Order: sequence, then structure tokens, then C-alpha cells
Amino acid sequence: MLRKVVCSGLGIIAPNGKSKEEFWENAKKGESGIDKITLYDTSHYPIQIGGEIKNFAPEHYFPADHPAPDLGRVALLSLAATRMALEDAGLEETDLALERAGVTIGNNGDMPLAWEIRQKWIHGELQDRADLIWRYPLNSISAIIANNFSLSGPNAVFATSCAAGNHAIANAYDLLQSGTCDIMITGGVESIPEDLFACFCQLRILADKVCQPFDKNRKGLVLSEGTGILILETLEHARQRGANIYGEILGYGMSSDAYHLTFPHPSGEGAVEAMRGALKHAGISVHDVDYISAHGTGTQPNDKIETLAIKKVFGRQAYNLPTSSVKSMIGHSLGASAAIEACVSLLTIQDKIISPTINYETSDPECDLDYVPNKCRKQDVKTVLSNSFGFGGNNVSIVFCETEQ
Amino acid sequence: MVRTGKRVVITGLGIVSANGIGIDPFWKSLKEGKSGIKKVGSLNARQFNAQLAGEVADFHLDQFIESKGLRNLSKSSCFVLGAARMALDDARVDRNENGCRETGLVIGTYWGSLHNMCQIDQTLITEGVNGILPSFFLNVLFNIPASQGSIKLKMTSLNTTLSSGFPSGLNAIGYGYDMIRRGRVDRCLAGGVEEFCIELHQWMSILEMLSGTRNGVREFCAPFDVDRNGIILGEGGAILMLEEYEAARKRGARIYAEIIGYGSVFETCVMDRFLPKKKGVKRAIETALVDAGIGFEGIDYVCAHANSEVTTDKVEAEALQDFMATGRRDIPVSSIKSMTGECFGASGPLQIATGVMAMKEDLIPPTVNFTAADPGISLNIVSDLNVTQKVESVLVNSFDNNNYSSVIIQNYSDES
Amino acid sequence: MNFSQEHLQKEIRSIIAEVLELEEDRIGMEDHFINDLGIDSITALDIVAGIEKKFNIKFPNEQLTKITSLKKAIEVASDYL
Repeated sequence: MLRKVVCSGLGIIAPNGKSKEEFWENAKKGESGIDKITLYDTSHYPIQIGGEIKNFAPEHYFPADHPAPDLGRVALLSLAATRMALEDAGLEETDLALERAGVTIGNNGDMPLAWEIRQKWIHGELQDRADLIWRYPLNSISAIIANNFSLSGPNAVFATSCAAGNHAIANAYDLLQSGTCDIMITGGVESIPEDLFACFCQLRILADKVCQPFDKNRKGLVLSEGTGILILETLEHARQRGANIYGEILGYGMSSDAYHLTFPHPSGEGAVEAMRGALKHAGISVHDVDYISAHGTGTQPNDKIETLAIKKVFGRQAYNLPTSSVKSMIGHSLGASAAIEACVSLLTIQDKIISPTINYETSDPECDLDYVPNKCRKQDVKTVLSNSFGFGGNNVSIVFCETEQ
Repeated sequence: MVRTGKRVVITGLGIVSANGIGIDPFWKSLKEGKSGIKKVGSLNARQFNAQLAGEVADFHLDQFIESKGLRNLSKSSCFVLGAARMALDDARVDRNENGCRETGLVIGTYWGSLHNMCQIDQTLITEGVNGILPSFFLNVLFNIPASQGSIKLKMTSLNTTLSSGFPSGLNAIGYGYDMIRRGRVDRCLAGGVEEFCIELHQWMSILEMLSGTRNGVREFCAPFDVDRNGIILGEGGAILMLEEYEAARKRGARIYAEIIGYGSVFETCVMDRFLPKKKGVKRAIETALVDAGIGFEGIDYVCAHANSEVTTDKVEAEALQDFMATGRRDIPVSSIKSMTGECFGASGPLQIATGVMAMKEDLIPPTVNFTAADPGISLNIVSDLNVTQKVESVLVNSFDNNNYSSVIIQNYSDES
Repeated sequence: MNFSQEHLQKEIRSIIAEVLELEEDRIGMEDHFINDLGIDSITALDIVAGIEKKFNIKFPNEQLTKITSLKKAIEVASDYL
């Protein structure tokens, strides 16, 4: 028998909010977290802006008897968000039946201290810090979370670029649905170390002032850091312990564009297949969807082709369907983006308020849907489709819906 | 794992390894005890005591994939493309669009393109941002090998890249296995890839993980041997074609074997010291046995994880011995890493391919360099050539400090 | 800094040849990178990056779509030198 999968806790640290409450309040208000990067000197780079988490103080998230371990920024972000998510779910560490709780996280290789470790190696200093080497491998984030909270179930990092968070969530969903686990900590995390930032500058897809998804004059994406952590569990497990439930995951769809490393297929077929697959898996029709949390990166190709794909899937219904992109406010946090957008989907269902696409000034005839421009909107949202379309053509769409308490 | 009733079979094998390109050369060299481990030409002998690795040689991607657009591909992308192409061809999947379109692709890897990433950082430090080539950066991302696979082979179904420690490749196979059982896809290429590079060799030297690191100690890869003193690095790509059984039968596929059990667990520990635990090995094996619905006595051969690391081989040997304590004690065990080196993400899939061939020919490949086990260990560790016996099922293990995975495969014949 | 057109052509042709792994004399002045020389947009970015590095300039993103052939590359680069 396939179990229902629900979300009982959220932890978010984003450029416009260092907690779920702060993030969501600011998202509804349309507050941007994008600003000049201060973590390193960007004056010699063509771009100076990003979504940095300003004044991130790890010690605020850890109790005095369990201080923040010295594990680097990206690990600390994810540990802090996991703590908040567990608290949000009303779970103590002792509540987790160790072997039936696992961790799946989206992250793309800015592993704890990866840039620092490689730098040390280049400067001949790694000999003195052998202890750092085992933190280098790609899966260290999910391992660190499991070690910190003593979880012994399945454990993996998914590294599918912008879709990584959704791949991690989908896998967590499968492990719960099939009965392998009762609780999963899932989501995504990413920071923007200087080398990653420099490389993205060379790809020429970064905007220099703002992120303007779907706007005619959109210039590209804005890199950011962040983390979204979700506590997923089976419905029966959540009900048994009287947990507050944000919503249910009904299903997901996956596909590949099989086209280009950075450009989506011009026909939108990959995105179409992912969205259609999600609706089919969820057992719902296009008319059941109330809101789309778009991938909406702010690049010319993505926003145009995502719009085209939405129209192919939803037909005329697309014009009745609000579609907004939180990346307009917090930028693109790669491995974390889909996870934060999953949190947004669930918060939207809970609050019945759709967050806006900000910086929307000029409409684009090729992007003519309702993007909830600049101001949030009250709407009875029960079912959300959340899209993530990653580099390399990895596509995952997930359906979230309201569930009875 | 709740069984859905769908069975998963292996219908194709693609291998890029130091022991041969393609399943037949690979298996032939294993049977003959021919190691792919050699002196690394590019290593400065004065800088490193450890001089050996299992590097892939004589691999030319343009023999497998049209050569246009192969510039700046990472080694991982090259290995994945070669192995995927071979697995598709071995599975006799049509090269036309429809044949590949609905085939999923999942890859596991541990270190990624470490060498290329270090080159980028070096460039950034010495030349600044203008020195970084866009295509070089893109090809370094962890998911690019799988994405290049989907692009060049026109595969539009599910596509993912995961990492879960040393068992990354085995877990990718587990992921594909679960996806087929859940009915998400009928066919999936699944496997792992890993690159050898000087950086990794140096880092493993710093950790004293490598055999021969300490002065005066013999450098050799000797899984389970009482004189073992560390691992030797290997590299490669190994990809299997997994298919839903009925779909495979319907298209007349040649079926090598069936995956009947999979288990993947985590043991919490201090990350900065490498000390795998027997408990983790046992939990993974137990989970796979429960999934398969068989007892340990149903295993005919263990294609071990043992990689010549002191604690690793000890905990695996003790775990296996515990399982055998109440039943057959002579179940043959061997480790191909004696000939391939430790290939991390690629190792688990290489071991499964080995298990498939062991069942096909009823022959156990040897553990080269093995002479005597640790005191107290009385496993049947095969080190001779031409050890033949009936092999109908194989247990494959893969683990590290934290992650422990096991897969059980069973022989397939048309009468099954 | 004053670069003659001839010098620019020589240098940029050399960059293109290196990126495309082609002999220099096989690159026509008006050959379109993507349509005639058969490269993709990322490889085209490598050409741009090579020119920027060689001459220590940075093209604004809006100019990139104009750099589609050796001839066009020379024209655009001239404006920024």
C-alpha cells in the first residue's frame, strides 16, 4: 500500500529572511534580498550583485550545549535550517527513530569548504589540514546533517544543478511512500563561493542590477545563496503524533531536454513532459492547479520557454493561472532554489496568499501570463505546481496540495 | 521496501576501466588475474612514496560517440558517454530516437572532476576571471556527465546525478532499480563514474590512505590480506541497463540477471577519521536480504567491497563471517579491487558487472595479492585462478565511513 | 592602445582556430560560427572569452549576439579597444 506523504516542518534561510517567518513575511511584501556582494571583493568582476545572506550568525541557531560546529558556511546554513525545520515540526532529536529517518539534499558541489580546501591545496597548505579532506566529497552535506541529528536511514546528495532540490524532495517522497522511511529531512542548500561566482560571470547569463523574471527587459539571473529544508513524513506518522501539516506531495514528473548544457529546448518539450508527468502522477487535471511556482530565473530563454511550456500543458487555462517567481526577490540559489520554492508552495497553500514576481515593469508579448506582478494576492490556493528546470536539461516538477489535518 | 510486483533485470553492460574497455575485455582480464594497476607516469617519484594507480588506458571516446563537440569534456563525461553507449548497444536498444528517448539515466559519483575544478581555481588565482573558459567550467559541474549522456544519446526521460559516498554508483543502481519497481520508468541506465587525478592521489597520501605511503612499506593492493596497508586508487565508468522484466521480455531482450535485493543505510560517526563499522555493513546486507526475501545461505558468491584498507576489510570480513556463522561457511568471497583499485563511484557497478559474468560462467575472479587473512577470519577468500562453481546469486557490497550499501543479483535463464 | 585591423584579424583568427581546433586558413571572414562552422553557443562564448582575455577587454552582454563571425568579432572588438 502506498503511503501519503506530507510536510510537517519548514526551515528557510534566504537573502530576504533568515527564518521561515521572516522570509515569508518579506516575500509577501515583495521585499528583495538582492544587493551588492560583500563576502568577497567583486570590483574586478563584471557583476557585483547577488543574494547574500547578510549577517548570518550561526550561533543564534544552535543551543549553548550544542554549539555550531566549525564546518563552513554551507554546512552551517543547512544545519541551522534543519534545526529550525525540526523545531517547526515539533520534533526533538530523540523523536527520530534513527533507522527510519533519512536525509536527501540538493547541492552542486560548493561543499563545505570546497573552495577553501582547493585553495589550501594550491598554496601547499593542505598537508596541515588533513582533517578537512573527508569533508570535500559531494555528499558531505547530507552526511553532516545525518551525523548531527543522528539519522541512520538512506542518505544522498543530488547534484542536478537548478533541479537538485526537487530531485532530493522527489526521492524523499519515494522513500516515504514506499515505506522505507517514516521521516525524511530533505531540501537543498547552496552558497556562492568566489570561484563559483567567477565562473558564472563567464557564462554571461548574470543580470547586473535586478532579477526580472518574465519582464521584457530581463537581463539574466542573479546568483544567491540560501537553504530550504522540509520535514516530510507519512501522513499516518504525522497524525499519530499530532503534527501540524502544511500540505501533501501528490506527485512529481521528471524529464530531460536532451538538447544543450544551458539552453532549454526551444519547443519547451522537456518542461512540458515534466509538468504533464507531475499532473499525471498526482492524478489531477490542469483545472485542479491553482498556482504555479515558476522556475522563472530571469533569463531570456528560460522565461520565454517556460511560458510556452505552461501554455502547452494548460491550454487556455494557463491564462487563468497565477504564476510567480520568488527568484525575483531572492535570486537563483541553484541547489537550494527548488527547495525554497517547495517551501513557498506549501506556505502559499497554508496562507492562501500568492507571493509576487517583483521588478516587473514591462510586459513581453512572448511572456503573457499572469505573473502576479509586484504585489501579493489573496487567493484560495489548494494545489500548487512547482517547477525546476536545471542546467544540462534536468527537469523536475512537483505537485503540492492542501491536506486535511 | 514495499514490493510492487515489478521485477528488474539487467540487460546491458558498459565498462570503461583500467582492466579493459567493454565487458568482455574487462571480464577476461579479471579471470586471468591481470591487474590494471600500474605505475603512474605523471607522478613525481621524489614527491610520493605511493606510485601506483589503476588508470584507464586506450580509451577513445570518438569510437563510441560522434566526435563533434567533444572538446573540453571532463574525463567523467567521457567515461559516462563511452559506458552508456556500450550499455545501450549491449542491451540492443535501437540507436534511433525512440529507443533511447524513454530510457532514464542515473549516475553516482563521489569526487567529481576534482582535477578540472582545481585547474579552474588555479586559473582564477593566477590569471583572474578572464582566464576561465566558459565551456571548461560547465563541463566540471557534477551533473554534466549524465547531462552529456542525455544530450548525445538523446535520452529525454528521468536523469539524475547523486552522491552518497563510496557506494554512490551502487546507490545509483539502487535508484534506478527503485524507479523501475515503482513504475516510473521501464528502462534505466544506471551506474557510476570516477576520475583518477594527481590531486586525489596527493590528498589520499596526506590522509595515509594509500598503500605504500609510509616509508619501507610494500605498495600493493591486497584486499583481506593480513599485510595490507592501504588502498590504491582506480578510475572508470560502469553503467548497467536496468529494465522492467515484462518489458524486457516483450522486446526480446537478452537478460543477464535480475536484481532481487537492495539496501542502503547510514551510520553516524566522526567524519574526519576513517573508521567504517561492522554494524553498518551488516545492516546494509540485512536490508538487501530482506528485500530479496532470502537468507544469507542463498548467496553463492560475495563480490566484496574490500579495498586493502585496514579497517574496511576487517569489518567486512567480520560481518560476512557473522552471517555465515550459522550456515554455509565456505561461500566464496573475492575482491576485484585487487586488480582495479578503489574506483569509488564506479566500483559498485563494476562489482555488479563482475557478479553478472561470474554467474554467466560459474567462475569466481581471484583476489590478487591475497595470501593469508587476519587472525580469526576463516572466510573462503578466493585467490586462485579458474575457481569454478555454480553461481546463481551474488552479493555486492560497497561502503565507507558513513554510507553502506548492498545489492543482490540472481542469475537468469529463460526457464526462470 | 592602437591595433591595426590586420593585427586584430590575425589574433582573433588564431583564437577561433584554437577554440574550434581547426586550421586557421579554414576560417572564412564571414563564416557564421554556429550556422557555418557548426559550433554551439557555449563554444562561441569560449571565443568571446579568448578575445577578452587576449586584449584585456570586456564586452557588455548586449554585444555578444553580434559576435557571430570573424568579421563581426573584429568590428565589435575594434569598438572596445
